[in-house]
Amino acid sequence: MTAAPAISLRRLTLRDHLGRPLVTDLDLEIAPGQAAVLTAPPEVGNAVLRAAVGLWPAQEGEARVLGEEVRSLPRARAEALLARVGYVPRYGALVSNLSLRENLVLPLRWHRHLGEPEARHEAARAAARFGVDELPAVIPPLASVELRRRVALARAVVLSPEVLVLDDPTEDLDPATATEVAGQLAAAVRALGAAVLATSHEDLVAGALSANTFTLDVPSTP
Amino acid sequence: MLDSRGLSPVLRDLLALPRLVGGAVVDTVAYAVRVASLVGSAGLALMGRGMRMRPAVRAVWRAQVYFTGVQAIPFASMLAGLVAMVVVVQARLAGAAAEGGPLGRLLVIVVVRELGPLAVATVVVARTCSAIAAELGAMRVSGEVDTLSGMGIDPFEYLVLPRILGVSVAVLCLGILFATLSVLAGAALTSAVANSVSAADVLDIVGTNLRPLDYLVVGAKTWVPGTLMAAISCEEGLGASRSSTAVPPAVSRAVVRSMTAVFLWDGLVTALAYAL
Repeated sequence: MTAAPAISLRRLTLRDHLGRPLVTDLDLEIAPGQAAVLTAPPEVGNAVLRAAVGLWPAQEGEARVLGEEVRSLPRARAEALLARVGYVPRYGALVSNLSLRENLVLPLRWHRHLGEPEARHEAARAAARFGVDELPAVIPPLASVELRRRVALARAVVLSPEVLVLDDPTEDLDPATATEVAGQLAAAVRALGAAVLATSHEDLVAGALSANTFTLDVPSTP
Repeated sequence: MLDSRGLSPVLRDLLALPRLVGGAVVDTVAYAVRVASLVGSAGLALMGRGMRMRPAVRAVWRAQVYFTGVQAIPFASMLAGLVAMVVVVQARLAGAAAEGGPLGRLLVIVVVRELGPLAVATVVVARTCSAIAAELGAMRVSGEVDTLSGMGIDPFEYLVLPRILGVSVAVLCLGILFATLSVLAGAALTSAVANSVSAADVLDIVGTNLRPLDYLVVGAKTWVPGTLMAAISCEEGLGASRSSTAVPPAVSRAVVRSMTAVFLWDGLVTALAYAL
């Protein structure tokens, strides 16, 4: 018996809130441990990744992660499934009223019910994967873009997920930092054996992850 | 100028009125149902977990109780003293402060039953409802709410449930504190301005005039509005569209609708408890 694909998009059609097509009939399958990077206009890549984690409704077709469609699951099962997926949205979207450390601790306490000391230990381990040895006790708006990006990636891997869904993980970083972060991401992915679906505006991430790349354009409207 | 149907602008507006009024009524009912379903869902979620919250939710609840309740104590205490002073001054002008009886009854009727719950609700609407709507609205605009969903963290359980529970508990406690402090301040002020009446006399009369129904009324006029205010604020904050310009109107609606709900509920409880 073969394992279910980590991510499976079948004849996926997505539209924006005005009904304009973003993606039509997209077919993409990512096996466990494999990586794919989409080169696409931001709104298109964003919609595809959001569809994968159940945040964007598919007009037609289906988006499955680890064999299941998030949107069709009851809440408890969707939560359990998403605990196996690390998601980094555009710009990280860390919870702004929690400190950087609390942002890392939150998924551990929510899904693993860890006590504070264990959660802090796991959070520090995840942060170290991305070169953050000391987490300053500040809320995200007071941290640098680079630190926020590293913490957002650390939050995505803190539960040791089987799949990573990453929206342009090196955006807004200077070239040297972007290269360093892409390398750290690739090392984390190898260590976890996770599958990756990412978008990126440059080849850096695809190169580091040895990923297949796909180019998507906005479908022309009649 | 007549339109294609031969109707004047005034007549056209008049004919559209029932549709507009009907639409507003339908919108209001739909809104009330949404708020009620938030409150109901909070209750069901809590019961579904055996009245226990996850540690992460409990932390948000504690922060909400601290912000809405504990941090409002100085302001609410000052208001309680001022309200008591106003009542005593007016009672003195009316000649009622010379005797403890009328003043004690006045404190129960005006402060405990009516002004106390309304004053506390006003404080909470100004401080908390605006803050909740602004915070949740900003979180929605920045994509944090969606991100929580994408991480398998239910925004309702993490953001809404602890706020509804926290605000309702804090408003109840503030209401009790306000009533207690204003009665104590009223008694102390009376003894200061009327030589023949001691503070103990006033407190005795207040105690005699407080009926079991009054305790229920204070509970109903604080706990329920607290729940409604929090649910309305969450509904407005999370219902804001994903644009930063949507946050200020959401805050404004949260304040106005919370105030409306508080006054409507207050009037309803007074009518049911004392007028019928």
